[in-house]
Amino acid sequence: MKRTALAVFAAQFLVIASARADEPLVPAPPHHLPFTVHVAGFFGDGLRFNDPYRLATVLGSSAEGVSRTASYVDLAAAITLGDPRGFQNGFALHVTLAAEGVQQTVVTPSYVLYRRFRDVAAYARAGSAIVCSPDLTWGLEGALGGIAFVRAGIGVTAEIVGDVFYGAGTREVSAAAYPILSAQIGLAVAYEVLP
Amino acid sequence: MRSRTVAATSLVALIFGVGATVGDIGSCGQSPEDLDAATFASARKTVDCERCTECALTTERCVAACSDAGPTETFPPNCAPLYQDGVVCLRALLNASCSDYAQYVDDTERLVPTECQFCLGEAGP
Repeated sequence: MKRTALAVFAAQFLVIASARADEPLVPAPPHHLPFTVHVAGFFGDGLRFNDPYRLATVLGSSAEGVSRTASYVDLAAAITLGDPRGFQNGFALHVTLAAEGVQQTVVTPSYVLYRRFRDVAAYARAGSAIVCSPDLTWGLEGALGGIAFVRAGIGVTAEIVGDVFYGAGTREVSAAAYPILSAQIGLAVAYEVLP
Repeated sequence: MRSRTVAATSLVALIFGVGATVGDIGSCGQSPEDLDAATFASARKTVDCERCTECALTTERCVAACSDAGPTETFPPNCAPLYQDGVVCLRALLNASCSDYAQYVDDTERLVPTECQFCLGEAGP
């Protein structure tokens, strides 16, 4: 009796094992976050609200008051994570190059909060700006921006950017602070990747 | 004299070696130091000669800048600029267009870029 039961069990096991070997392997369903890749190019200009070294271009009568910064080109790339129908968090990297005057490069890694509503999007950025040339120094940056999409993923973008940079000391202060308010416009491309 | 030449050459080399858009604000933590008049005058002479040659300018100031005679300019009384003042001024001169530079070395109506007006109210450099 026992032998018969064992034989039946062994036969059943072999049948099941054979059937499983014939089944194709199906990968587990993916659980990746959707994300959006953004690239943008801007052209901008700004106002400097402290100018102890009389940097160009001075506006008004006082050389040490408000002045216009050099116009600049800003190249940006960002990735934002999450459902594209809701708020997305991400990381952006901006490289800014002065387009006139003394050559200057500023690199700004920043956190991004992004939200798209059909044909428009809005975002906020906050980060630290690293001035790479002509002298190494740093600052803090915050920005508010928007994109008006003219195609599915291509749009016209604009940003208002506020910075505070810290530079060489003067006779009055050990590190001069330079508040800057800039505006920039450009083109943006957003590519959504869904899992 | 030799140490001044070395200092002036170093200043010019520093400016050429580095090359936004807050502008030329120097490094955070850089303490203010007085600008040596002789060092600055020598560096300015070197920059003037280079830009005059590059822009094919032949004004009296250009001829003087490229001559073997040492620089004669000093800061006026009560003018005590900082080292960063000198660096900012020289970098502005180095990055000026030729048309602007022609005005900076003009024999009759010489303009001074705002970056170099650190002795404003005195007879600037």
